[in-house]
Amino acid sequence: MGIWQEFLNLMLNIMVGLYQFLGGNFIVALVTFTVLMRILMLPINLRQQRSSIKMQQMQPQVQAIQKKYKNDQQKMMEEFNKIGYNPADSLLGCLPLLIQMPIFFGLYRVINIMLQGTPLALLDMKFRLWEVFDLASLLPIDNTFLWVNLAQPDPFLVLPILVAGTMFLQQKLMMPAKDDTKTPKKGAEDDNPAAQMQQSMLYTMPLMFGFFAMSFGSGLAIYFIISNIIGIGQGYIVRRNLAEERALADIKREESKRLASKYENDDEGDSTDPAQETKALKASENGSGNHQKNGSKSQSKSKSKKKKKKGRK
Amino acid sequence: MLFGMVILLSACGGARQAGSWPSISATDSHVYVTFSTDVVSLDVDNQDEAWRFAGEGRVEFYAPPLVVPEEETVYLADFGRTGSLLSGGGLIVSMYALDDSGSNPPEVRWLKEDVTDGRIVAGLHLDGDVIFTGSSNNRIIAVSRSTGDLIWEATTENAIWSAPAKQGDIVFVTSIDRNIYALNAADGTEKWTHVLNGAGAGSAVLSADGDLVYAGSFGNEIIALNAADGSDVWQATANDWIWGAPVEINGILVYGDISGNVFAVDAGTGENIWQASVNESIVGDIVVSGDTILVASGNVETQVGHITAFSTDGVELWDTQTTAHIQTSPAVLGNSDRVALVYGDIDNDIPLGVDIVDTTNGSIVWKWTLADLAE
Repeated sequence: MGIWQEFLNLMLNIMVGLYQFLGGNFIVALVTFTVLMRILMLPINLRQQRSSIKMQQMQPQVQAIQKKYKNDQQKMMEEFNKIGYNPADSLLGCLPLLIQMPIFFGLYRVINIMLQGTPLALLDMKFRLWEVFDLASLLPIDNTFLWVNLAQPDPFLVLPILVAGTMFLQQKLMMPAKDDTKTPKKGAEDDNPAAQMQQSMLYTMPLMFGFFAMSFGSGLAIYFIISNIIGIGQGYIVRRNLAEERALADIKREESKRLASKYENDDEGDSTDPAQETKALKASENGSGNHQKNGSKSQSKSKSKKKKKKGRK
Repeated sequence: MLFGMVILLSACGGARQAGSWPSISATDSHVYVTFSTDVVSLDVDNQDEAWRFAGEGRVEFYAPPLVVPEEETVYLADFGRTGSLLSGGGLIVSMYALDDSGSNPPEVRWLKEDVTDGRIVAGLHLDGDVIFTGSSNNRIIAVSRSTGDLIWEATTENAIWSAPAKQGDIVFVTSIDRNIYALNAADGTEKWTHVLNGAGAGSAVLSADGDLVYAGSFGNEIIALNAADGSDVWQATANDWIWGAPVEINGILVYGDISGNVFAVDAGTGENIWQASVNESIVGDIVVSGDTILVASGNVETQVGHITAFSTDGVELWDTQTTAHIQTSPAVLGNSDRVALVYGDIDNDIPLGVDIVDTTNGSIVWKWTLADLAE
């Protein structure tokens, strides 16, 4: 028996075990299984979501560097390093998806075996199950949930719509917020392949999965919905954390600017007048469009003055 | 990645996900097989393919064809296909009446789409102008023989995989929901139900005098009930699931289990008379040809199949290895001392094939295979 069949048997036995342990309710077993799988995948998923959003946020800078150093690969890599961008990370972003693939396809087969409701599927299940399970006592496996037969597509299309909706939200949360991307120019997205890809996936993924849900058993549609809802939660948490990190970084930057201007004022007048300090801070805040430039200028200015002072001493 | 998913989902779950198994019916001279998307008629006397038919939209077939030689008609029920995106998806299950007078492919006399909302696995039972069957979506249905129009439907708690049986004005159906239902043939109203020891996948069988109804179950038990009121008459056990229907011959009832055990009990009392073994799983019905009991068996893993003949006193008359493992019921060709066995397994790349076996000595008189495996 191949590795895939062994893996399938393991998943089937886990699902049947959950079904038996959780009172013979397939939906409860399916929800539990999906949550367990998402928990198992949580560290890697969070990292991927985080990395994906960060990568997109960096795209304007990355593109600028690529454009500027298109003939100097080494310099380009140095600049990438400076901003913390690693092109290999974009490939690593696919890793969680690749790891989830066997689980996804395995569960698809398990749902079909358990719920398809054909003699062949039942015979298949009987010979795949471990001896600890008394399949006859578990039959019939309850294949109904609300108005749907879990082995068949939802006739009222409610589940496919929910699949598409939750998938859309999940994809949306994988994208950086509009004010995160630092792409003030209108149409800049057109030059950003990552953003284009994300934009197209935002619509194609929900449509495709919605169609899958229309074609396959409702059990699979419910798996998609649960999985998407967990993904939405994860996406929300990642975005919130990233926003907090950005806010913290902004505060630190402001603080360093404030200190820089304070040193500057100290050098010019050796004054510790709080009013002057506030004035200086406001002045630096007013020039927020050129924060980094001004900051670095004033810092270098203050450094040179300090050197002069030291020399006098 | 999306493209990859589409390909994989199609491969893992597209046309093959339903994965039908082959079924067979027979007349004196022809056998009719359904497998995957094909329905084939074979002329056994001339050892030739008579016709081949494919349903709408590459739909699959699970249920054996119902053949009515007197009117040269073959009735079919399909496994259902998913509707197009524009039509809102959903499952479309159809029934067909095919002209069996000789044209290839056969002319469709009528096609009734959307006959029920669940896949049809169960065989069809014809009585008068009504065809009875059941669906995987917990329905027992009665449709018009001449138009396919629905006459009535009754709801069960789980799927119906077995062909209904009829006696007088009562239709008997076993269900995966662990019940046997007795319904009024005229309107589908319930006369009585009886709880089985496990899920019921094999058809209920009426005794020769029509007083008793027998039903096996996955609870390793077969029961005899009073056909009129459903009261218990006797129970007999097996060593494993009883999947196929039993058969009554000369006052004994013979049944098999999926561990390959064959049991013969007194049809009136359930008292054990003899027991035998055929080594492989018995999933189909036990059938008889004259005074010979025929048991088909198969092992999916080894892909070995057998047909074994017993006399009514339990003596093994002959045993023949078939071309591949047999998972469904054999079909006896009328009074011609021939039995047809069908095999085919998409998962194991075994194409559809038929072995015709002489029931007097077990020799295989004709082997036919569908050259191109139906995708």
